[in-house]
Amino acid sequence: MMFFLNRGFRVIAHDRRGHGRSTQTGDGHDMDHYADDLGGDRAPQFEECGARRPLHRGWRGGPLSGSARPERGRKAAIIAAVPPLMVKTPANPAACPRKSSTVSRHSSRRSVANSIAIFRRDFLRVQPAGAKTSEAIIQNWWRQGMMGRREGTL
Amino acid sequence: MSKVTTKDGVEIFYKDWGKGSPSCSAMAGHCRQMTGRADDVLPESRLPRHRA
Repeated sequence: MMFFLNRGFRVIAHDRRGHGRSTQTGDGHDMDHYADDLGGDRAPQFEECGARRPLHRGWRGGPLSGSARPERGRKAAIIAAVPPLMVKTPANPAACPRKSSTVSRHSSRRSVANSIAIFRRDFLRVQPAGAKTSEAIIQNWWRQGMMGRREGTL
Repeated sequence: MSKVTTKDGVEIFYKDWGKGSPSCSAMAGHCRQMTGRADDVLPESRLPRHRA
């Protein structure tokens, strides 16, 4: 946010449902709701706060919020977006094997805190060559993950 | 706190900083600098129906 703020933009950043300071809902944790919550017909967010045709920037699941109603945006920057279907199936052979998802679900049944810690440690340590790992960022990510509703985090 | 309410009654918090041309930052979880989901691969129960 500070990068764009310091360059004269108005920066709007929202939670995904069930996270941060938003309603701790256990429902609607799917791509349809994510897309509709902020970019679709379900929420008139941009009209409410007066931001018309914004520049959308999204990372991982974030691009979905701008994809539901692309005509509302001016430009879009999409970074490492989640594809519509990530799990390998016979019709989707190039995708990720289901095994990693199964492991995650199994561990989360025993300990949410441990599951988040393991995933985030591994995720954040997959770094480009020469990049440094920040233990503070890893800890902050875990803290934020624990704030969210379990159904939306794991 | 700045929030909008979705059609199914969920309140979504957002930060709205600065002035000028609007930029909407959508991360994967909380509206913070470094966030994400705990599962990089969608569980079967959450396979998207959405096809953008």
